[in-house]
Amino acid sequence: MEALRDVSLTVAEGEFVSIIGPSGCGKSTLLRLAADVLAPSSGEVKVFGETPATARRARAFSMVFQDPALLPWRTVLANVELPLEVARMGQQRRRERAIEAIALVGLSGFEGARPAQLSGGMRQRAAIARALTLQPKLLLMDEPFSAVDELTRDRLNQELLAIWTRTGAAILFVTHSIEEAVYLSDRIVVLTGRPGQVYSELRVDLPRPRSLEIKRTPAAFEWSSRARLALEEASR
Amino acid sequence: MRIPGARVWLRWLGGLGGLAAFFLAWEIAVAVLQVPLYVLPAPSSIWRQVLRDWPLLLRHLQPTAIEAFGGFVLGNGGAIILAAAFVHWPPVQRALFPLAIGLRTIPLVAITPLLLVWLGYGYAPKIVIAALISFFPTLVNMTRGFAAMDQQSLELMHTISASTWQTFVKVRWPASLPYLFSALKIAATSCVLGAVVAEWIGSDRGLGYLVVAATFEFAIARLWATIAVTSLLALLAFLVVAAAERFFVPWRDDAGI
Repeated sequence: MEALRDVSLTVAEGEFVSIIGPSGCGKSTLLRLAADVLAPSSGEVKVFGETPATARRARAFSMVFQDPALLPWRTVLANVELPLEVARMGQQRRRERAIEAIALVGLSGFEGARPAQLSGGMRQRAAIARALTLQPKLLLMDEPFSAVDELTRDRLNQELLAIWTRTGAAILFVTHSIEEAVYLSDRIVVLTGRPGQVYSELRVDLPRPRSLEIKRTPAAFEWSSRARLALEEASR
Repeated sequence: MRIPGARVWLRWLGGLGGLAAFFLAWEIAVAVLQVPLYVLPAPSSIWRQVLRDWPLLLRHLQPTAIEAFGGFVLGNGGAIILAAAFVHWPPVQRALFPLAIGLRTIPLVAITPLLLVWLGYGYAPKIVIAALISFFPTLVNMTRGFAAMDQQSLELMHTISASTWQTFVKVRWPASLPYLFSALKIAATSCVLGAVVAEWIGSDRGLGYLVVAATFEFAIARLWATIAVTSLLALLAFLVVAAAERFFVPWRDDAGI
């Protein structure tokens, strides 16, 4: 089955790009292609000028899934260390990096906790910390906050922007939420229904740094209604 | 809200209460109905016989324990390795799973004499029987256990470029532990029974031999004492595995008996 067709999408260095589109339009597929989890049936995907597999082996990007996918038998610290452990980094260095990443997502003090002891939002923070330990130039995020409540999502969004600013990584972000996409992104890519094609792109020029208050400004409403209109047209 | 301490306590108390009620009913029934000894002795007289025969029972307990343990290690080890092969190379599973089922359908009582011919009169045939008996449940459980890893964990390991071996050691193996312990709990008791059955068919020592000897001599009380000790050995094996599960699978909430 064809999920995507003629999608051409470039993410600039350090750019925050969100993808929205009707359900089943292949948003996640697009992300999975970039992450080398799926192989394209035709056409090509380039990540930093390489095939996704090469970029993956060079550890140039990290993926954050919808489900935090933490290993229940590992503590937060051990979960966050996992990618470095797999990359065979020495214990001392990987511990330092993991602790740093945990601090960056605001989970300091929970290093020794097991995933079952954390709330949904905290688990997703741990998953983000895990993705950050590789210090990737690109973060692929597949609806990472879809399972948390609205207020937690707001807070996580705000923190994600802070993390993004601090790390300078580019982020390709798939979401269902128009408001979330507007608040976070430099650019929103609207996909059509299956097979997904790029319907339009919106360059969100809200000033940065963006606090949560910006969500309630007329400019943000304006961008949200534009994005909603584009999404409605794309769904037709 | 969970109060683990209290719950464990209650569970143990419940289990012991059930056992106590069972033995009490047995004791009373034998006394009231005046059941003759050769039909069914009372638990108290079985226990007295266990104490009386203790040196003898202990001497025969040892080989049975060795055989059961050897079979446990061999059967479960083989099953775990084969299950790992199944998960990583599906053609191996397609080729060997029918064979494994075939192995399961062989009546062990029938092949024990053959094993005696092939492997001699010592520990070896008993260990093989004990291994065969525990092999299949563990194979089935671990084939499921190794495949139980969720899709997202698999994708995660892929995106961080983990090797197949790393994925196995860091995710598949720990994720399969609850399945492993379910299987090991079955195996712990069946290994003992396998060893006893093998001894029963051909041996001059072990609890299985003692069963044959006691029956032959019409020593009914000793027969029951041997049965009691065999059960206790199997129960002990089970409890050791259950304790190991609590230790090795602490993240599993219901890791109890």
